[in-house]
Amino acid sequence: MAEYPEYEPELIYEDLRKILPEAALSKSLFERINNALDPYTFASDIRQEEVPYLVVRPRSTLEVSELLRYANSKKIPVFVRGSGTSLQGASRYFHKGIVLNVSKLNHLNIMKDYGFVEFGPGHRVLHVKEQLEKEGYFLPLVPGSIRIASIGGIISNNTTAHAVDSCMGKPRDYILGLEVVLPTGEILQTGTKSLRRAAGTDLTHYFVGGDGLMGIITSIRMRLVPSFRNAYGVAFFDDPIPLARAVQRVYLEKAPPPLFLEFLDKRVAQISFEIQGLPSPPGPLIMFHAIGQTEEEATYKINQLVKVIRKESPIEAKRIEDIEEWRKIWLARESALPFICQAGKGVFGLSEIVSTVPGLVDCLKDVMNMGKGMPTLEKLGEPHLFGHIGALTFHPVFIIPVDWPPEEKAKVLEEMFFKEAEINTKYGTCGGEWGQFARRTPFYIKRYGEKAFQLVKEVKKVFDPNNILNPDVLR
Amino acid sequence: MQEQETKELLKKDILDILGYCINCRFCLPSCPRFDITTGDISQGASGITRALYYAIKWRVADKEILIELRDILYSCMTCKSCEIACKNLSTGTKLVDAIERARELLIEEMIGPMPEQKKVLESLYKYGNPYGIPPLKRKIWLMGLNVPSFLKEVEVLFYLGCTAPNDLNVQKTATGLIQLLKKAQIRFGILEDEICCGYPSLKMGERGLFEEICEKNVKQFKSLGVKRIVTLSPHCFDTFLNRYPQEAIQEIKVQHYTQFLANLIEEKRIVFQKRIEKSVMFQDSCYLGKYNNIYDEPRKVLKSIPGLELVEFRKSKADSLCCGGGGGRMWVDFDTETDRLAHIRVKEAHENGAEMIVTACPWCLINMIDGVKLANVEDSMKIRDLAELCVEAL
Repeated sequence: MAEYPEYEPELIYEDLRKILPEAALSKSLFERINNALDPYTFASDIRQEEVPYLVVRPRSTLEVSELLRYANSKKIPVFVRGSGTSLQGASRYFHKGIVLNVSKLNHLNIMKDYGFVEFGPGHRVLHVKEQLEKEGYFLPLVPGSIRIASIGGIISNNTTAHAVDSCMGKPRDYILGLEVVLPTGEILQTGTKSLRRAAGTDLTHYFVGGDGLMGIITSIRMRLVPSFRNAYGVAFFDDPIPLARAVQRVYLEKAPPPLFLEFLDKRVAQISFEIQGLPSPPGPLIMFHAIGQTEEEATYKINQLVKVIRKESPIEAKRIEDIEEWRKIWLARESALPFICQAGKGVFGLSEIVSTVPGLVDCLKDVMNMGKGMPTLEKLGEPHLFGHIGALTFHPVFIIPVDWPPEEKAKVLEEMFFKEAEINTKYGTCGGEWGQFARRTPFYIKRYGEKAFQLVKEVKKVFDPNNILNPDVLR
Repeated sequence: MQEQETKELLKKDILDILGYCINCRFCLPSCPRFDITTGDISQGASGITRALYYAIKWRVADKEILIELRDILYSCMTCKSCEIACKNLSTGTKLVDAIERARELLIEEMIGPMPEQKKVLESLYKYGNPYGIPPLKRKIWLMGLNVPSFLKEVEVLFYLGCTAPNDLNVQKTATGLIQLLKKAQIRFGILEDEICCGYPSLKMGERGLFEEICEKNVKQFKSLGVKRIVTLSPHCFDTFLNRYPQEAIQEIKVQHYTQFLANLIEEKRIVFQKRIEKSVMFQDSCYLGKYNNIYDEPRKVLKSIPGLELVEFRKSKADSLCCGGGGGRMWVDFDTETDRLAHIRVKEAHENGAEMIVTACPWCLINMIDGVKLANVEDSMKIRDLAELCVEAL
């Protein structure tokens, strides 16, 4: 753990009042606590000594710059915060510091003439999506936490979340340029204003997917993606193994990659279909969504997918023409996690396991048996399974009884991340949705080696000589 | 000693409820209060309950910090939007239950309620209503209306609630409903000495007073042989239906007047003759909708009025925006708020070209009337309660 000088919060507040508007500063105890929590504090409460000195909500890049100059001169850690929804622990802090909450960095300009949109990192993803949709554009960022997740965090993680990479790519494929404030306070512009992206060295790529280690993104320029036509399908199986084989076939037989290809195991499907008033599915299922420039193209793609999937003898595989039926099926997918949680009267531990195409069947078996041999996970039984199987991702879920003591809950998380690392190592993969560090740092070192981790730290040092920016991400 | 035990039990209850919360924050975009503050997480939904959680866990005793906690907890309108979001998207945590228990705890700790609410509780205790109206004056406004008193053989107890004696606009609602009941030839009556249902004491955390009021009402209902109660206010409706001891209330059918009216219309005991050629938006009351899933009945009534065009708010039904009056908020304002919810609602209706907002709750009505003044659209936007509008359409 790095060491930093200790300060009186009141002194920092008084100093910052001289350089930032008072409305941007909050020293309320409860606001500071709320800005230091992450979705895993059910297993380990924050301690009083971890409460940040102050929460700052800058409204401009210049204010961010002023704050960082100050923090760097005093060697005070700065934790950048959107909505704090990180599932790999990046929004949990172990040092005292200043929380820089980006919620007021929320400009948004859709520049149709240029073919791009510029926005601040503080928007909720859903808000940007809705604004783009009004103008006939699609936002290629589709996290499950779309209602609350901040778009800056999504960009820093370089994740499109649910979407199939081979169809949609990653945010990096859409981002033309950034405005970034370095931990030392300098403001940097990267990339281009053209739709012709930079060849060769482009610092944009250091920050998109940079886990927030090297700078604070204050503005994002992203290519506009015109909306498209949609077609939908579903397939029910009597067993998850042929289901996984069907997904392998999608890749191996060069079927058109869908935008989404989602998987629910039998238990999850039955709970969530019942909630949506749909007939109980006979077994595990996949649901898929194809896109095209025309109705015909989207329909062609979905028919191709159905054709390939049928080769694994599902109980049923079909194109869905009734949009209301699709809406309900998709809602069933979206409500899967809350309803298995509520049915189990607990909180959830979620991990992210990524397979290769050839490994998909074995990986699925490994995920199903994930708890075996782990003393605490075994007590919870087989995990509930769902995931973005078209993106080769599984999300095994363990429901942790709410009345378990925090230490026991912490063990579940520890064992879960251990198994996640073990399985991802076995298949030579890594997380494709959440960031690479925080709780996953041991995996990173094991997967890529001590040298690689040292290089990451050295690169960070070039940008952040005093290691003040999000220091606990590299814990 | 008993006092200490009560406090410890309340704390345990709160921590048990909040054990389900995982800080996913899915509730935050649903919280109307969060939307009208400056963006501090601690001002809405799970931000409020996490503040509470750590105050208990860390046994916070600093008076200044407890006052800050009080302000956060009493700012909640208890609209239940956070719980609905949590049920649909996360672990199903009962955030409002935790907030209500916390208010009880603050009363025990002599920190709550808000200073402005103390008078409300005093009035409830002294006069049986929250507005400081002596019992004898409570019925003055009814003079000349020829409203029958409730007697044993009467079919329906029309429970007026406390706001009508205190507000002219709500009196119009009550008068309208009386006319409708007479028109449909319902044998109804009102209580000679009606007292509050207890809602304000319940929501402000004064549990003892609530139980006292509850006991008095139950005793009165039993002695009069009440079989059916129709309330003017959704708050009284929910309190009787869901907060009175089940064994005491189980033989009484409790309805909100919108349910009762919808039935009368279906049975053709009320038929609207006059056309009301207006574009109308309906403000869902949280205690009708989010608490009791009553969304269709008021809409059925509206749709049965000839000529009326019903347009929905962008956020309606389970997603509806609170008017800002629930949970004791009719009596207290907070300087952390930058706008009023009713103002936001009125602006949206005005921008949509609506000519009228219809409510089915006295507090929604009062707040919306204020919202119209704030938006400065008094000339083009009317606010009516559903009962009053129905009378216009007879």
